[in-house]
Amino acid sequence: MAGLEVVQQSRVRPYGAYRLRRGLLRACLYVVLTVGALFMLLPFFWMISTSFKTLADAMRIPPMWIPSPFVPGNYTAAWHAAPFARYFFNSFFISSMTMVGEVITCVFAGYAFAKMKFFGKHVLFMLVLATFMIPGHMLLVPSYVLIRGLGWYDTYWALIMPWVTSAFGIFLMRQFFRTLPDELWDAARMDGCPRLRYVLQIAIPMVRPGIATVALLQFINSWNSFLWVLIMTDSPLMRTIPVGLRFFQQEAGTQYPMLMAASTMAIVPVIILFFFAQKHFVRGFARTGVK
Amino acid sequence: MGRGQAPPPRLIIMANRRGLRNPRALRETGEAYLYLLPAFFIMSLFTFYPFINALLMSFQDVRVVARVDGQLVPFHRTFVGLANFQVLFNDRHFIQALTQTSIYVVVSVPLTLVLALLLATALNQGLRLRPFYRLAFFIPYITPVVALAMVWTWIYHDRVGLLNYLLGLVGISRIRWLNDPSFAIPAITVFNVLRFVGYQALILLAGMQNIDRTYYEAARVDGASPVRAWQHITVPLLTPQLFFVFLISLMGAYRIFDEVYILFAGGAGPLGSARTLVFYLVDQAFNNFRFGRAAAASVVLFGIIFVLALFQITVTQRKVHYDQ
Amino acid sequence: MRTWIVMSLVGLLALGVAGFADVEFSFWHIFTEEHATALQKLADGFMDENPGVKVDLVFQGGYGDLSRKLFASLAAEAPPTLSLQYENWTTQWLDALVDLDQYIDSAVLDDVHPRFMQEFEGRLVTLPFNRSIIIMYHRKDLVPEPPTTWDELLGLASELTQDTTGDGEVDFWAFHLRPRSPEESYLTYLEQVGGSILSEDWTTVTINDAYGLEAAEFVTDLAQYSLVDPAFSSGPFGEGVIAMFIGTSAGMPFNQAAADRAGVELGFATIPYPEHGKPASQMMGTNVAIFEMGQTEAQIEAAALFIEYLLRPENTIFWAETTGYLPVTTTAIESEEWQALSEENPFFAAQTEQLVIGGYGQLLHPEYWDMRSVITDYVEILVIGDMGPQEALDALADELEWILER
Repeated sequence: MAGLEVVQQSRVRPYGAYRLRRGLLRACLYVVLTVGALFMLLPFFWMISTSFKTLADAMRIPPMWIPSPFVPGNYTAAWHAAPFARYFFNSFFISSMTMVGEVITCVFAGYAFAKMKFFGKHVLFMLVLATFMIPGHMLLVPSYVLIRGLGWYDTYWALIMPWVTSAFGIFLMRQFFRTLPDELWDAARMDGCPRLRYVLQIAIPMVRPGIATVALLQFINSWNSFLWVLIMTDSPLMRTIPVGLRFFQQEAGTQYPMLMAASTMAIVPVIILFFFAQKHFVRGFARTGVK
Repeated sequence: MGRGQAPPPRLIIMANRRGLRNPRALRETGEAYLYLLPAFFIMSLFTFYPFINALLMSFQDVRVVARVDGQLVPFHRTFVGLANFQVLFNDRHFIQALTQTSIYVVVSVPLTLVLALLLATALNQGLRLRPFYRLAFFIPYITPVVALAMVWTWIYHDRVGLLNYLLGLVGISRIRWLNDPSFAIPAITVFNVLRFVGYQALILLAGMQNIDRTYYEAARVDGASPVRAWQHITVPLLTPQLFFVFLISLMGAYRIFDEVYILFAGGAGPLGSARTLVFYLVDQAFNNFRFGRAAAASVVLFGIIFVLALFQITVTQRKVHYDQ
Repeated sequence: MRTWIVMSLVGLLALGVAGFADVEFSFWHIFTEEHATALQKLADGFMDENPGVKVDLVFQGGYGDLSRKLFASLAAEAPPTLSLQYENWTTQWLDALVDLDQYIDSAVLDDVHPRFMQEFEGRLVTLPFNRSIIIMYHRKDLVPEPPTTWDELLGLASELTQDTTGDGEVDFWAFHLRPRSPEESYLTYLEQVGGSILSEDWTTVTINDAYGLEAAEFVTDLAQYSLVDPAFSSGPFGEGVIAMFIGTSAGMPFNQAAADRAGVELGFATIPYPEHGKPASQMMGTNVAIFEMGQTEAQIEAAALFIEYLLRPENTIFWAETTGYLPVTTTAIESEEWQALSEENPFFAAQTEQLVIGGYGQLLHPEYWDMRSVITDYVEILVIGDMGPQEALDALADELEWILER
């Protein structure tokens, strides 16, 4: 290795100039990225700032950046103006349940597609991938008729069951299982370990980052799901955060500060979740592009 | 699995045993089906079945209710052949939706991808604030689109909006973002580029981090500049991720609806300039109650996405570098 | 013997709660806050009167959400008994609706204000509930005497519209024109001068005749002095950049709030009309209708009884007074109580007068949704000035003909 470095240094520019250029470039990069990041965060900053303003201040031109007077009351007002506690519970419950279901179905299907040989594998996998291409809106009315036929209308079943599997989840889990060496299963089989036990006790722990990614993405999808919940439920008791927010938007009209307070409340849980899980996201995404 | 490599010996043995008569292969097939059962049961019920239903409807005249021989029949369907498609392609609104959506796709998909690639490259430089940047650029993607679009309707506001205020500071006169036919698609594009760039960058970043360091070291040895290394190592080795991102964003872009619905208050925008395919579909189905026509529109949408995906997959199989 | 007595007692009891032994029916609506409370109060009053009946009020979100729910519920054979609905929805599921004249007392029907009596293919399937009408709103400081004709309005408008900051751009407008709401400009004027979209028998398109042309020219004139913006008028009014606008009376609370925000006094008036025309104004809001599908006869009867209850003068007045919608029966409108309320409240006065002198309903054609959407496009084109009036109208007529034919 030492030899390599010597060669390297002799071919590149003089060390000092290189460093200076690199430093300058990095500084530029920091500036551009920081400006970009702040720009991305601006709507959120504005949303949060507005959520603490009076209505008159919210409409002011030029905009007031730091609210004064500071009105935390918008939050309590919004919280009491609509049953947000119930919305939060529903969102948490539905998102968690779909997340669990998604992980179970996708782990098994993903494992089968990655590691098992069976008749019709290619066709079935194509079928799974094909569902990527179906626009969800195409299915709304047939699905509604189906859900009513099952007697699931306006129940948690309607909001959970159709979402406990996904092509994306199966695909992602397949990508992860493919990275496991086949020798592992061969060895386990030699020892007389049944496949199910192998999957549960050996394979699954090895693809934990994949499971975390699938779980988190599903949680966020469920949390943000809008049109489906809107169509499949009736009573305010079944509403989730985005739907509740939409109703609240209609009820609150131009009460921007209250609306922004409610929006902030809706966003915060997802951001916290992401904050603690971002490492998994990055690791999970590393697999998505691999064929 | 590298393409040119010979399969390991174990695989050859397995391949020889593959015949269905072989009891072990049969058992494995049975077990695999059991593993697939939960996922396929759910998919059949909630995706395939409604999908076939929607396909059928595109060739039918669907009435919400009709009285047939004195009996009320809900969701009354009669076959009408291609009549729905005939109406579609003579309907100025549908053509408008098709063109506008395509323009949006052609502009926003490459734009987002290029920006995401640059962003990922920047984030791959071992910067100190990376977690902060990652969070900042990713937040718009995980935010409920309803909430985000609500904020943006206001940012885009003609007179009290933040964007026009900021543009005013640098001397650009007021743009009627949501009220000027020529700015509707750009407004949606800006909104969605910002929403998706972080997400795509993260996927690409993950791919970049998977690239073997030794390639870069070799390039350095050869005296290649970082730009050249990026051009000749990073981008080519990133093609699987690039294609994946391209494909999902292409399909997503054709399906655009929620954000348009909130941004333009449920309308089609000035002169219908925000009318997208899915907007047309939802409008025909749930406002105009022409479900056959809506199903036909959804079949056209599906057709476009299908052809694009097929094309994409064919290209991918030819050109993509596999590093796994 | 004992058994006989018990049985006849039970029979008598059953007859006592005649017909409505525990009937429950649902009513889908879109009301929130005070409106919801008022509706609940009406339902409670009705249930007190009819102990065996339970009215199940179901809030369904906005109108868009309601229409989607209704559509899907019909497809799934499970519509509510009673629901609000717009005319263009009614045309889509006419077959599934109950003929109300078979269930509702003719004396009650006769009392419904004639402006509200709409027939769908010769059938009476809806009755008015939360109806509003387009009226004019104005700033009292700038427009103390609201114009009664469009010519007067245009004269006033040329003075009011101006560039207050002197930067070369108009920043104050006399009027607010929402190009994507043709019933607030083009269609109103068309009706006022006696024009129409289609001939009476719906066989030919008449929108590009002389009346249509006059209306188109009017819209281009009006646009010169108007802020052209599809947003609700309460927005720009609250910012204090417009002086007048016409819009549905249902928007009053928002417009009042906007006026308060801008610190100006809000005035209400009937909308202007051309000197050679009539004071026509389109009625907005929804009707109620009963679905036949999936209902028991008892549910239908109970729902019909509830409609009769809502149409009682005291109830329609209570509803109008609390919500700002129109009272819907002749007795109620002409009652001393309502006259007194109107005298106190200029808003009630303006919208009631508007209804009586010129309320008209929209075209009840099953393809109206598509027609309106095409009309909207061309009104926008007129406003933007991309096409001359006659050219735009001829193109519009072509498209309408195609919709009629297909």
